Amino acid sequence: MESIFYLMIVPPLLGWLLLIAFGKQLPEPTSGFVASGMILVSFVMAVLGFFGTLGLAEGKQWHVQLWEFLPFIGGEGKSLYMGFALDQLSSLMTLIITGIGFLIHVFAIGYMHKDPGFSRFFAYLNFFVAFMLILVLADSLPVLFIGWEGVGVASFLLIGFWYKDFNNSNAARKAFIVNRIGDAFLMLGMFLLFKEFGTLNLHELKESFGSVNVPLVGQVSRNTVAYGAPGLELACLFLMLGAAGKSAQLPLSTWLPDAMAGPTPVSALIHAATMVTAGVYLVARNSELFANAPVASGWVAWVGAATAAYGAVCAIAQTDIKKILAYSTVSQLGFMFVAVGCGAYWAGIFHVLTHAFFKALLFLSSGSVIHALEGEQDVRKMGGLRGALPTTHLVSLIGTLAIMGVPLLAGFFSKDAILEGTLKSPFVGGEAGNVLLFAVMVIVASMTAAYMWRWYALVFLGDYRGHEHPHESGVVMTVPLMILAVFSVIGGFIGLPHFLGKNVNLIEPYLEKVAHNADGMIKLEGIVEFLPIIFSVLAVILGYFVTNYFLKRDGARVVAEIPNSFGNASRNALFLDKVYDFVLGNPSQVAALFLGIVDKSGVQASAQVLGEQVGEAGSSLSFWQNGFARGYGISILIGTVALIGFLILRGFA
Amino acid sequence: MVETPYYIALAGILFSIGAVGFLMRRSVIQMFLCVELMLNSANLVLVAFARAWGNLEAQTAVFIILTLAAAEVAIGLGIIVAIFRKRVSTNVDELSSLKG
Repeated sequence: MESIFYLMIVPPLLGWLLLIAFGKQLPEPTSGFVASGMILVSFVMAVLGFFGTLGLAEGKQWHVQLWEFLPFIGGEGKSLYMGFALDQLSSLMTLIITGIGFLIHVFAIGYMHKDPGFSRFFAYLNFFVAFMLILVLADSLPVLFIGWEGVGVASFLLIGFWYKDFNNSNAARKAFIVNRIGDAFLMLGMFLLFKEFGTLNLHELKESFGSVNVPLVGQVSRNTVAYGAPGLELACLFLMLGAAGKSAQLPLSTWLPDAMAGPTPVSALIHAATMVTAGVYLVARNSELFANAPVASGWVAWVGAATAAYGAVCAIAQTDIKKILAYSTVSQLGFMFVAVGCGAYWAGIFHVLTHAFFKALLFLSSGSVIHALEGEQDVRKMGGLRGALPTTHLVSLIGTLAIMGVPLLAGFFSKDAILEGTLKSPFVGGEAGNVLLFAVMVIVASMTAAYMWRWYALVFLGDYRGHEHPHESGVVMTVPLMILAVFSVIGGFIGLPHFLGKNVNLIEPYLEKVAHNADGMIKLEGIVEFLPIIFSVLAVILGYFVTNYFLKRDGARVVAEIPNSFGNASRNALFLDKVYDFVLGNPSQVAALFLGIVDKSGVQASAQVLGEQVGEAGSSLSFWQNGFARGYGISILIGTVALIGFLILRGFA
Repeated sequence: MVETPYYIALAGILFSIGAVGFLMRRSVIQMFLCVELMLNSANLVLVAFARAWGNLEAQTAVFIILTLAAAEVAIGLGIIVAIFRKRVSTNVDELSSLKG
């Protein structure tokens, strides 16, 4: 059974090595086929693993321990171990990563056609998939951290893939640096957890709260930590900040929109479907910790709500086809954070799944549009593309409806589950908190519908406003789009709402075995049970009509611009970047300028003076070194005589 | 049998000749010979004391010094020949370009 881990992780690593070493020798489509094939192998393994986990009992997992490192770092019997584990949660993640990853690889064969870095691109993509798999298959936090950093590197490399443009490499650096801030907090969280629990093994951390004490490796004496203990709360807050960095939550959200500088398949795979959901995965993976840390969970939920609102507001007036989707991703990640913060962990992961389908679909569709328009990304110069790009138009419509939350499509069910979670949560500040959070999320859902309909209408409806001659993409690009579209339609049916019956929801009992809902979830009764679904339908209708109203009144050109102060604020992402510049950027530039002067006039000058003084002292003695052998002979003679004379006088002892 | 002090005195005389010669002469070859003279005076002291103490260790040391000196002479003469080829002179005072 252990071999499944190797068979899943090694192929993409192998693909990466192959393409890095021999990529230049391979003709263009071959390297794409090699990379896609490797992912396909991983996908088959992930499917096998998935069927295996269907029969896995609660609290059980497949586990392979590779080696021990840092032995006895925490005292006798408290070592850190390297290993992999597969359970229901990680299995679902591997399916998303390899399945959608495979489709995006295939799409990229068409999209990256004639790019000089073709095989380099696929090498990086394979590298990313390998580390993402390590991240979700990790059996302990340090191993997870290895994957966490690996995907960070892959993200950096792929955002700056067209590194010759200064803006792209700057965006890559920004993503990397902002992620480092989150990572520092993640490490702090790990240190604190190790102090509190004496282990970083995810399974052992989870079991620390259970009544059964099953040490997995060695005889580890574990501390048990009480519900809401300060150390636990703090550790969970640190974990949350780490997750916020990776998942672009406030205040670390600014890197994700800039990350759209990378090629579109990268935006679809890394910055929508998989990597950015790692933060959500981290919280869901440590659900037992967060369920016992009510304050930290509350923070997760509210930060998520703030981010969801922020992303939605910013998405409304963007003019770049990918930036709209990027802010939408920020907003949807906020939704997922709300879910896991509320204690409805399965709902968060469910939204990760459905979001992966429709957001990957939307990004790839926009890639197809950009491809058709020879690199044009400005929605002001689009419009009317439904005629020229029939397939892309159809799948985009499906994706748009799915993310808007139109009933019976994927996004509807997962969003409904999250809204339900907000009403049931014991963490968000009592009944008033529940209602407020619910209201905020309904409004954000409505905004989602509004900006997504704007996106769709500006790109596909109306008349064409540009000067290119759009053409539909090839089969290699449209087939992955169609597959994703199918899943965007049917993907939600695994998580039907509860009032339809006891056993209609498939994903919740599956994930419950790993990450069960937090204790103390409020039971909804009567009409309250139907509130989420009623309001989410209302939200969609409202959002759609608002956008349509403005489209009718002002026309597509004005809606694309939104020439008022709200549009300006939204386009500039509520000036968050400016705030960062003002609070951090400018002061550090001033400080750097000041330190530069100190360095030049103080440190450097004093070093120079010191050097000159030493040099002068040396040159005053340099007459001795006159080059005449005789002079040296006399020096030696005098020296020897003096030495011997001294020894004689002192009396040789 | 000659007493040890005579050997020491002879060695002292040889050493002085060598030292003075090294300082007074201008020809590189002569200076080189003077260096050899000083070296051998030291060898003589070693052998003389070795005989006085009945200890063979110093004598073996002398053999080692002799072999080393032979090697050194080979290198030294090589350098001198090279310099001579370049400068057409063995005057040591003209070789002062390595000053600090």
